[in-house]
Amino acid sequence: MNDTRSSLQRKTTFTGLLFLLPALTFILFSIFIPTVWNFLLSFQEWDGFQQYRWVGMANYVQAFEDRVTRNSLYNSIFIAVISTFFAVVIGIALAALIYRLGRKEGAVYRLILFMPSMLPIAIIGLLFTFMYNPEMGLVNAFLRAIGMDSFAKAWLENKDTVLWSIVIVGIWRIAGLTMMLCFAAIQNIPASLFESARLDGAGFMKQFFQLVLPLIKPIVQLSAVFTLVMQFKTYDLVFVMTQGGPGSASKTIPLHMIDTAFTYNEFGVSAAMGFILTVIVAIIILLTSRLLRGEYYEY
Amino acid sequence: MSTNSISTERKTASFHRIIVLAFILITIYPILFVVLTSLKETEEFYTNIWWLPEKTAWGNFKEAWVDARIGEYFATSLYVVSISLFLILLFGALAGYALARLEVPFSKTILFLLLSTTFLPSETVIMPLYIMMSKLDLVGTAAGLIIPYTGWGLPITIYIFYGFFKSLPSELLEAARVDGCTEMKAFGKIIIPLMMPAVATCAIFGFVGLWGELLWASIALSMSDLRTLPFGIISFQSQFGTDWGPMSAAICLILIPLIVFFLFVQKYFVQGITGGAVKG
Amino acid sequence: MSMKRVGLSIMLLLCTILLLSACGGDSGNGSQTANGGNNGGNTTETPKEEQNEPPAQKSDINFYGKIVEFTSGEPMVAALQDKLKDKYNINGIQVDWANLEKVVKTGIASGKPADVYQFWPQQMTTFVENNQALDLTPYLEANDGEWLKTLNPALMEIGKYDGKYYNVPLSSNFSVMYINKNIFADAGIEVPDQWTWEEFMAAGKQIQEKTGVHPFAIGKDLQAWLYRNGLLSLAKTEDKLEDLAAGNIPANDPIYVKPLQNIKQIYDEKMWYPGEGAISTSRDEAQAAFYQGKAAMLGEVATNATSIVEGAGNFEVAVVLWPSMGTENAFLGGADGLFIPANVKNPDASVEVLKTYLSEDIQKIHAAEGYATANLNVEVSDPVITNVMQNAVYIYPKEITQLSPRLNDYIEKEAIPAYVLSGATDQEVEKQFEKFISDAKK
Repeated sequence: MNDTRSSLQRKTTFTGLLFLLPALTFILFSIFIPTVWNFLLSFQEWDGFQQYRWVGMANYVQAFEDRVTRNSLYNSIFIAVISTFFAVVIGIALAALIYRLGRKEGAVYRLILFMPSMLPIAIIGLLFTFMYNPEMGLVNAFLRAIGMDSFAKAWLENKDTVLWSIVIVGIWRIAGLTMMLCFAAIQNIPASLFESARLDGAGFMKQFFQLVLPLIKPIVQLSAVFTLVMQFKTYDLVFVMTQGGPGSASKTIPLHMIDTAFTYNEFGVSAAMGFILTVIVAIIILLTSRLLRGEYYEY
Repeated sequence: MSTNSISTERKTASFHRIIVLAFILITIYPILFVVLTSLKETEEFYTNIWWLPEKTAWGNFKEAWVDARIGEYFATSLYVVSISLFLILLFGALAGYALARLEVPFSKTILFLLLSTTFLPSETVIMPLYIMMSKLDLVGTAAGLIIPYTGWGLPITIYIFYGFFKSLPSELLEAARVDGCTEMKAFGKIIIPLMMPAVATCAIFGFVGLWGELLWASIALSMSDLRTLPFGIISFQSQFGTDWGPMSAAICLILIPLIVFFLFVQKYFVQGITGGAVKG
Repeated sequence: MSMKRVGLSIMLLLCTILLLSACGGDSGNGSQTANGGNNGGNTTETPKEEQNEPPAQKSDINFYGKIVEFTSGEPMVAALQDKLKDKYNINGIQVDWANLEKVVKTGIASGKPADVYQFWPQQMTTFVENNQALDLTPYLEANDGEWLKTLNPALMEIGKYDGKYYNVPLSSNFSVMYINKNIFADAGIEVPDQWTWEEFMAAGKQIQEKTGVHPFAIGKDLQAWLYRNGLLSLAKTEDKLEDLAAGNIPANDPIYVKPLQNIKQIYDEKMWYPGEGAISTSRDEAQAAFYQGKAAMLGEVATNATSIVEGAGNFEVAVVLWPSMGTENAFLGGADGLFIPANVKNPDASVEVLKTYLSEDIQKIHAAEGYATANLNVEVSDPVITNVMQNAVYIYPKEITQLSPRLNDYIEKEAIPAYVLSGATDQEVEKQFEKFISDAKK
């Protein structure tokens, strides 16, 4: 008896490993090997062509000493955290509001709100560069039209506004995704729960906070984590909109890594920056998951 | 319920509608701008930026299709992304099932390792990956994109499927068997339909993550005529400058099939995603 | 348990089918796109297929030099493919300027670079220092310098490092100022041939007062040229050009800050289109403003002369030199050129392709489209272009930016925004130069 069981178990384990194999092969090839390579590289000096030389922690030290790197790190975190926060909050709110509206009407709204997520981000960048154009752009045209001329700005040139301008585009692009996922989750809450809540006299707000939010917490957590990961990797958007400028005011770590590697030929330092960012992202994501961790309700 | 509370409810409903409409307006205006601009000639564009075109210029669409080869880029992107998505979903489901149900040793550790790889900025891997791809002669081919895209999309997919399979009650399969289904039928009738929500979630994530990828595409395809949509549009822009007429027409051409597709599948997305899909 | 086995076999079967179909689909799509995608280059694909019958020895050449930003780019590569079609299958690849450095460096590092790359001769240091560029001197000087004699010597100097040629120029590409003659007439200003910075500023003031138009526009990609030209002009005035390029002028010398002060002045006095936002204006936007008469002058490069003169349409354009910040004129060494990686499979074939590309027959197309070709044998009749070509004498090939990529990056991207927008002080600029120059000389 014992014997058959362990052989069965072994068989199951074997099947499991077999199932795991194709996925691991892809991940090994496209993430794991390059990552290990890079990890080793982050302790070496390599200019992209010649011999490698071990330098210990020097690359990490150099990365931290560089003002632009510190600044880019700050920008990366700022853009990712702020835009994720707003995108997720707006997404949840929209989902809850749309749920209350008619079926057909809601479907149209969902389609519209999800449209930005379907556009390649490079195109969104081009589009918004034009929106922010100081002379012809929509934002300033609007401000002038309502008589607030003094608020019209060169949004992408002013170092006080450039990060926020990028953050807003980040929100615009991704809020629809959270909305979609949360909407679907809300729709799966049995109608009877809403009914009984209503009989208890709970208004919209109360229903939302006491019933809906706890039930959709897992999906909120998932969208927050995914959005964070996406926003931390912001390369295309900043590259198209400002190239990190003016100066390096809106440079993010991915952008600075590319410059450091390919323009300055300092591949080791660039790799070190990548790992610094990874650690920070991991910490922030861990915190986010903790914060949003909810119990799972069965219904 | 009194009539009074019904009327308050109506009031709040219209208040909700106003909030939603405000966001709709913000979302749609840039897109509407693109649609309007696609119908304007360049000269009109500069004199009348934000309003309806005076006379419609369909030439922009021709230019986007013929000169900018948008159709071709679209086909390439669709091809690359759909194959990648297919592989991601298939292998992701297998791996998620294995980690959740098949007694793989250290499954928690594996899952954590997998998840932490997603935090790594993909910019770090450009140089090593290019060298590896070039050794395999895959640079400049569709496979040179599909392989990394699949690898990059897998971790989060595995995580989602892991949660899904963990949440499946094991009695479910037993019950099916008791009802007299054969093993095959049980799998086909019970597991696969139940998987659809998780599949839909992963598909959305995968699509949003890969559809606009620019950096790797522009390096890996640098030596070939193959262009994905984002890369193609950026090269079009550098060739003709930011000529907003044809550019907007190109954006419209991209959006239309996506909207049609989305209308078609929205039902499944929305019906499908259950809480179970993401119970981690 | 057998359930799992069944599941497994289904999955495996699916995998196999999928992999097969993926591979099949892959190759199908690849060739399809290549066929449809090659505009003038269908020649590359068709002969390759016919080739199977008589196995002639034709090698493949990857020519990374189709500059689609130039109207002459496509036709020149088509002519090149046609001319060498009996010997090579030339794959003409579109140059991606935004990613050029990444493309070339990954290509070379992978061991399978393109056979010819477009790259700027003035920025070859990074490849030359690492022995990654082929020394073209023997080929140029063969047969009594037969090839060398066909190329503009001033432009050849730019791609010369330690007495060896590593890059051959396609056409000159330096800064010129395009002037809207109508606006100048309205403001009552004569169009100058050459002018100093003070004259330029005075003209700007007058345009502002008389017409209300922004006097000047320049795109952000080019604004560092204002600085670099200014620096060169000041150094030439003090006869220090060589010292400057070698990094021998100490960082506290006022010539490093002076151009920044000048640039800040045009910004502060709102002479720079569109006022606030001038530093982040794109090249497209600057050009559009010039075409629409919103800016009286456009700082641009000579390469675009024909297209800008045509683009202006409803007013007459004059082409003049950029104002000189010192008393002497000097421009940064500008040319678009090509080079061959040192680790290329067949250097002789690459050289032959490159030589053919720069030959009179093909460069005629370049000149006809209005570009100032480096080939001396091509006759140019267009007065705008001849005028532009004459001004190439002011090009000085060596600059301080060649000292290190970090210094170059600082001048290209950081210095002007920091000084003009963020109010960096003269001392801070000095400190930066101090650091970059001493790092570079280590």
